[in-house]
Amino acid sequence: MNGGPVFSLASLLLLAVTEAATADLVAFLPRADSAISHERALREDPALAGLGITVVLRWRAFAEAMATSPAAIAVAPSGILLDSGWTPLRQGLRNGEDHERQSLVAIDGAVDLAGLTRRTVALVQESQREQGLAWLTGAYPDLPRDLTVRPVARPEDLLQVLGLDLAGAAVLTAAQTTAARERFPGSLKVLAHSRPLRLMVVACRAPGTAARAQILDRLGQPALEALGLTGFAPFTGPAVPWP
Amino acid sequence: MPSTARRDHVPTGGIWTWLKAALLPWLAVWAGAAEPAREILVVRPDLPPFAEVAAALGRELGPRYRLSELLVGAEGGRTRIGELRPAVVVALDNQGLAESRAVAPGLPVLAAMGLGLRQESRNGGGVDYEVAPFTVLTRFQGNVAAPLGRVLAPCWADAKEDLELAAHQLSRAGISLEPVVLAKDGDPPTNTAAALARWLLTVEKSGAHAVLVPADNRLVNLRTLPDWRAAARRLKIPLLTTTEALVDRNLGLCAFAATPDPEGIAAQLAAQVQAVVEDGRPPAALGFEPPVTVRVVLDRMLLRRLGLGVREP
Repeated sequence: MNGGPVFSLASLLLLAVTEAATADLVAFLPRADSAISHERALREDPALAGLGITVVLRWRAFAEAMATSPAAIAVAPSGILLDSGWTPLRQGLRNGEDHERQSLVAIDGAVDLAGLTRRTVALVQESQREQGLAWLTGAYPDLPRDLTVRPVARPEDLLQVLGLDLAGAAVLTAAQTTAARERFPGSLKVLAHSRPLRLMVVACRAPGTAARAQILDRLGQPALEALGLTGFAPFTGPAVPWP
Repeated sequence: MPSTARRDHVPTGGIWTWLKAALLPWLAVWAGAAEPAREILVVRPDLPPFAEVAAALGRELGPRYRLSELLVGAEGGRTRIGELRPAVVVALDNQGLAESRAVAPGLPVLAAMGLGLRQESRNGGGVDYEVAPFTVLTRFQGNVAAPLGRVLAPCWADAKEDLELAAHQLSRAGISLEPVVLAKDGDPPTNTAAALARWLLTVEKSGAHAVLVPADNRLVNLRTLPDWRAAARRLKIPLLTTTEALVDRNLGLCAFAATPDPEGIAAQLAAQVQAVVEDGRPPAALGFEPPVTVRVVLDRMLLRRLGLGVREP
């Protein structure tokens, strides 16, 4: 039997699968609880009609999605900008603010900021592992440099590593800090507040894709809510996570 | 990367220029200017759950690492491994750990997905297979709308120390975990079963909010299963576990389980591999840590019968 037609068909199928797998917009939402519902909210927005949209919750999945679709624009936490390969295009806003402060917390009463020397600090992985310490010491300038960063895949893992004594402290958002106070009543201690940290940013890697970011200015409220934002503004200032 | 570098040096004339453009990037790799992939050896049984974790480990580590696998008992495997120079050996399952000692003596070993690995892996590190009580109970608290002030944990005498550590961790979360020692080494199985049966009859009046069923086949086995099932039918509180098979509608035993997530185990192992290879930390310094990311299994019907609602995300 001649394998030519079979091979051609297989190639077409492979091409179709590859086409389907590429994305025009990759949203990395580490604080979301479901990729499916957030992806649906974005797909249903008229401004994004016809675009390939991928929502991922973990850094590893984000890195893989961007490797598959290098020309996609990304909506992601600003920590990705520590990697010099990114060009920031838009700044996410929440109720008019373009930044937030995060808290460094511990549940061991004996731990203080200076006492974190040679200890482990946990944070949700939002950039390459190697950039974890740079992000942390940039966000908290008073932290000792001699510490280990433990990236975790999901926000709920932060409370687990704290509770299991796998980390001396963890970086939490305001909402996570409230949840942590409920989880550890009377034990949670805020060691420091971060410098102002940029909210989500829109960025791209491949040249020539920047123009696509303009469609995000037309997003409706449900899609913006899915991204945890209320709007976008032009990106200004230094391309690091803190303004 | 050599291929990228080749594209940057498009030859413009003559065979010598072309050869330089083609060979220089490879020479640079050889000279150490570009970083070669780090070699990691995974020793594992040829079974799906271990293959799943090995594949996820490869994804977690990314292209800077190259994973080779040795399947336990594979013919000629040991000979092939002799050619590799792995920076770290990742041993999955107790069989994988035993095999790794034979094929790669003296190399740093990280172990996971086995029982009693802490004891078996001398000076080693890795990830425990059993989910910690802290994780089971706090995840239950997060998923089920139920009070969880006091939890009883029947155990063998040798598990008491670990449960006391867990009790300390849980105390910060406002949960009181009380180990109940029912048997010790040397006790005949019939005595153990009788002690367990007697104790289960007292649980109802203890005022506890839940019972943590141990992942210990000395206390949960075919001999004791009828007593556990009778208690589950009688009690108005949930039985919680780390064993997925015990949350089974036909069995009617446990209402909730938190079991290790293969991708989570891979992520923890990847972080440990990076700590050994990139930070130069020995596995013993990392030690064994319990799984952080878990899969939750619920018996909604059983929870409803107990009057407990499930929190939807």
